[in-house]
Amino acid sequence: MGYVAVRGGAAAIENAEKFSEVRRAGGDATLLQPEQIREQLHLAVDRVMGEGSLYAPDLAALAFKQAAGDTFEAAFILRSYRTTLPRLGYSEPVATEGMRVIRRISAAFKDIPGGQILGPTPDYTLRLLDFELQDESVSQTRQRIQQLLRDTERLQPLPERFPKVVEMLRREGLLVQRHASGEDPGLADITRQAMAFPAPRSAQLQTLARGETGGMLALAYSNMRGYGSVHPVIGELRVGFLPVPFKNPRTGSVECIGEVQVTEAEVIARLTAAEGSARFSLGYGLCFGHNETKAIAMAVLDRAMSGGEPAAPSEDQEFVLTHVDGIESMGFCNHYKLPHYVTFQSELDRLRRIQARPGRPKDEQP
Amino acid sequence: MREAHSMNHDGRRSQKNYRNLLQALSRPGRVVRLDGPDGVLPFAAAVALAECLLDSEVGFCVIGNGSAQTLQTAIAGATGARTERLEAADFVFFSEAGSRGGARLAKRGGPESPEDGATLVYCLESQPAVVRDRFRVRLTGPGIPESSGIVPEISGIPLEEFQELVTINADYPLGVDAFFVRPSGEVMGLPRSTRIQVR
Amino acid sequence: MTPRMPSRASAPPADWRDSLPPAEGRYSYAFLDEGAKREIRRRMLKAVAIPGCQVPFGSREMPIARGWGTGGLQLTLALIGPEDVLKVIDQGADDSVNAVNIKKFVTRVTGVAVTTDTAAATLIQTRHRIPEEPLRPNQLLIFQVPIPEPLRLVEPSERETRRMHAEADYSRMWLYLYEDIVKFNEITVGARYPVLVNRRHLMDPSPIPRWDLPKLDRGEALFLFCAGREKRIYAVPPYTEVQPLAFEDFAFRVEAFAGRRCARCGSVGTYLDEVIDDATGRRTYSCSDTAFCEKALRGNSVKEARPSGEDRA
Ligand SMILES: [Zn+2]
Repeated sequence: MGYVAVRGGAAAIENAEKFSEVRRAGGDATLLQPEQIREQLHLAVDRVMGEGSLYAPDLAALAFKQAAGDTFEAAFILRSYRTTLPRLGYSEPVATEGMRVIRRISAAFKDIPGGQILGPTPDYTLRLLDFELQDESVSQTRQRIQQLLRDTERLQPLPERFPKVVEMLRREGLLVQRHASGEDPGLADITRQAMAFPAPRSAQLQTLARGETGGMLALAYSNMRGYGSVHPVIGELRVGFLPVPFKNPRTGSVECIGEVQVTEAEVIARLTAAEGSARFSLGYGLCFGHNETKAIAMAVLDRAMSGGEPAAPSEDQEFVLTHVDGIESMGFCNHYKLPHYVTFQSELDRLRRIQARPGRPKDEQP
Repeated sequence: MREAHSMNHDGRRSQKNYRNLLQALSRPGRVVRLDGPDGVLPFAAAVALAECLLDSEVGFCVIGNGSAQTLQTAIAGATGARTERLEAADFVFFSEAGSRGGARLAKRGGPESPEDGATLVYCLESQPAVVRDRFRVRLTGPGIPESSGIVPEISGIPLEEFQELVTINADYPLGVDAFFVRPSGEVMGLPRSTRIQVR
Repeated sequence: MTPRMPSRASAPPADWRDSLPPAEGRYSYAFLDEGAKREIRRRMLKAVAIPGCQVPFGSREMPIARGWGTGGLQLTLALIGPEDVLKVIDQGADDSVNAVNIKKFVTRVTGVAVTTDTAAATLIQTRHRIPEEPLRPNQLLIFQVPIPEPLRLVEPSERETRRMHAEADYSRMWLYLYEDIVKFNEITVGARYPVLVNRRHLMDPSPIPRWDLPKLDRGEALFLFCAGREKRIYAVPPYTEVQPLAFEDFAFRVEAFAGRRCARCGSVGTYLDEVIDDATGRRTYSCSDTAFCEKALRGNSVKEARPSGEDRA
């Protein structure tokens, strides 16, 4: 009696929890330390922080460990922890020119002021399974890294600020002006207000910034492939650290209370004839941590939603914004595992009644 | 996970008071009682309500005679809410039993967001001069079992104020929702869904 | 292009645990911080003031998944106090896994007493059912809502449904039901049957069976609904008219259990679960409301539930 087994309570739940624990830590391997995750699985940690909407590398690493590597679950754990934290204040706005850059490229220009900085990227690495990592020796790896760092010391240091590539276009009057919040002068706060449509741009960007990477990629990809009209060029992609300036409530002076790592993407796309005069328009993406796929997808979606009448799902603001949150979509998808026998009984009743009627319409198909 | 089974004193009072406010609004015309914080008489009940519902996320406004300033200071101190123009305030407190036309200016919400309509709080006197007026008022609608309607349980609300609310809430679901509080802690709710008849 | 090495990311703290909040007292009473509770409380009052109207709120992430009752849970946590007695049901059952899980969480963060006895509860959180035993004034019934928008059946866009509610333009819902009748000679909506509240707002009663709808009409308790994922709160105050949409010549009907009774307690007039026996394939029926069934078994209660307008056809 399958359904009845779903009842049966506390003991079953507790056992299920214990079995998950066995799956997570029951093997012979050395138990993972959150520190190892934070440092060596940092891209996963970044993704969890972004989707979990909380910049906390240690906690994200812990969540990732607890979730046994499921980024949906880990982001979910982090988000629900976020609920319990009081809001102590708001940081001051920062301009991203001042980013301490570790990577910065433009696909629009061959050379850019400040130079292209490749930084850490696997983009040009052959994706060959590296069997040497199987028995990686600590001393050899450390040695290799030290040698690399010694070599780079001879290079000139990076400049403090990098000019924005898109600023050059803006100065030439080639860019359409877009505002952070549209007509709404204030900033929306999607964590405090349910979104209403049309949503101001601030609410759009917030929603995308904590959207689920895979979901956003799928929507952005549909646009790039042809279900949409954005033909993006990456004006600039940056990865680096931003200061968090905070006004000291006692002294009133602004102090830097820390740094956050972010990825920022600016994509440029031509306006179509229907959208107005021939100029470029910008799509903007920014997310916590190092997550280039997400930042680019975000920028493409931001641009896609800025047109007039949507011609494809990725251009429909309501469609995109209500479906990119991983915590929501994953929760709803999995809730179908809950028993639905009361509603099913109700459906059964309808169906039986229709079938019992004499002279059913002939076109009736199940 | 560590649990916290004890509620601090203010949290507890707010929780209890909230349940009573919810009761008041879902049973219009009936009286419930709030616990007020000490030392803010004669506005203890108004401040108890404010403490329970207001914080830095909302704006409020106090309208009325000389004592309005006292009330405003007490509310701002207890909640951290910002003061706001009457037309934009989420909560409007009247330091007396009538709004003197002020209620007319409060937010009523928009067709797609009627919930943005303001909450009005009227501070009644302890010993109203006129107590029989209320028998000329009939309340019907959601929360009221008798289809013939009931008489409001609290006295001291001027008949003109009931008339005002009828006019303001004529465009239901747009409108305002009201609480009437007495220094003793008695509270009566009148949501916009209540149909008011004055004879 | 000049490849350059990045500067080192900020040095990790000596011990990563130093940057974690202290373990003790990490969760406050009823989990939500006071600011979140206040917001939910404000929104609930507006929902009560405009019966059946969906009021948006800043839904918080909870430690249970979206779609698993986070809306109902947030209302419960914003309402609950030490004197409350809590009952949680799923599909009518107190010991259904999700109900047990929610109960476990709420007691963990509040320490309140729990019960399975409908009459003894002050707060009841439910998924998909209204208890058979009539509710009293002062009891609060909190519904978990997956999809708060009744018009979602006919219109996917929130912007458009918002307009339809503003104008009380429910013609497309009526048309949907009418076309159903033309096609099937029957309204095919099972659970989640749309109702008109206070003759003004079309409301999704959450996926309760049609059987339970008459209990919403002029009930004595306050009914609160919340969808955490969709961020909406709505309410039906006591003694409020709640009418299922129906046509003059095509009456609304609840599920038919004519002639059937509970195989456990013998009650007639309760909503029944259909159970198919593994071995014999025989169908038996038992009360979906397990607490009611228990009570009836012990003989503490009348065997007739409140009449629910059983289908006469
Ligand atoms: Zn039974």
